[in-house]
Amino acid sequence: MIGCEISTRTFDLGTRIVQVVDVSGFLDAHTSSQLENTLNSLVEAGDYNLILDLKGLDYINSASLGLLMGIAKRVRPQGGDIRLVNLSEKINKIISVLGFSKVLKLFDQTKEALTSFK
Amino acid sequence: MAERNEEKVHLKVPGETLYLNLVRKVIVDLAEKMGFPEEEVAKIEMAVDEACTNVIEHSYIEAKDIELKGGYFSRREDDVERPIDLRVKVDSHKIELTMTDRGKGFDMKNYEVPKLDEYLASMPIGGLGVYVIKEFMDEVDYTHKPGVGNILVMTKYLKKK
Repeated sequence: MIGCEISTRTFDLGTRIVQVVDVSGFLDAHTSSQLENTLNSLVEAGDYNLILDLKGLDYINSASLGLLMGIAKRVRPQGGDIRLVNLSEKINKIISVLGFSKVLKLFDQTKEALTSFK
Repeated sequence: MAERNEEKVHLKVPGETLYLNLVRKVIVDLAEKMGFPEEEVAKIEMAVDEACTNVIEHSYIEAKDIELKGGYFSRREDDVERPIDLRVKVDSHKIELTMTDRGKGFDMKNYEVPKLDEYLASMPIGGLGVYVIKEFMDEVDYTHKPGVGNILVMTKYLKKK
């Protein structure tokens, strides 16, 4: 795979609509704008409940982590959040070492993250 | 691990983000072969990626701005491609990465590493690149030589088990 692949799934929880964004490949200075465009479009459309499924993501740079912080900053005042699932051990470690795990909520599986929005 | 003679790799690619993945792959491969644990390989990978990104997105772009304004930046013939020039030295004890660019200088020595808790509490959108380089590598040395360019040397030691 060259770059990253991004797709979106919609879950209707009855009380809320949650958008799950699947990201695979890598997020660096070459590809992070793809994620930025996807997330910006969702937030602009009023989707404030977001789950980022990182199964298959091999690398994430600091700017992409900053992007997630920026999205959290925008959706939390609206009662929403951005939550991360399916992180590889490597990415989990990097996010923890850099302290982002204190600010962003991480889950092992999509189902758990969906339940957390109920 | 057996004693290993010094080996050198010279990687020179265009200073474009398209090539970041290639650079990471080469560095990860070298670090893995040296026997660095997975977490340390990931740190080296990220430090190199952030350093290359800084050169592409700040050093070269801002240098171009200075040129356009008729400033002091002196163009050299081989600047046309504005490469990422990475020289890697590995031996039994360490990996040393030397990155050279001819873009705008950055005072990395006097860059104050942010207090991470306070920094994250402000929910920043960017600005952790230099932090990653300084925190993830064991030694970082930066020199700006007018007329020559910027030389960033990042070293990571292989801890004895």
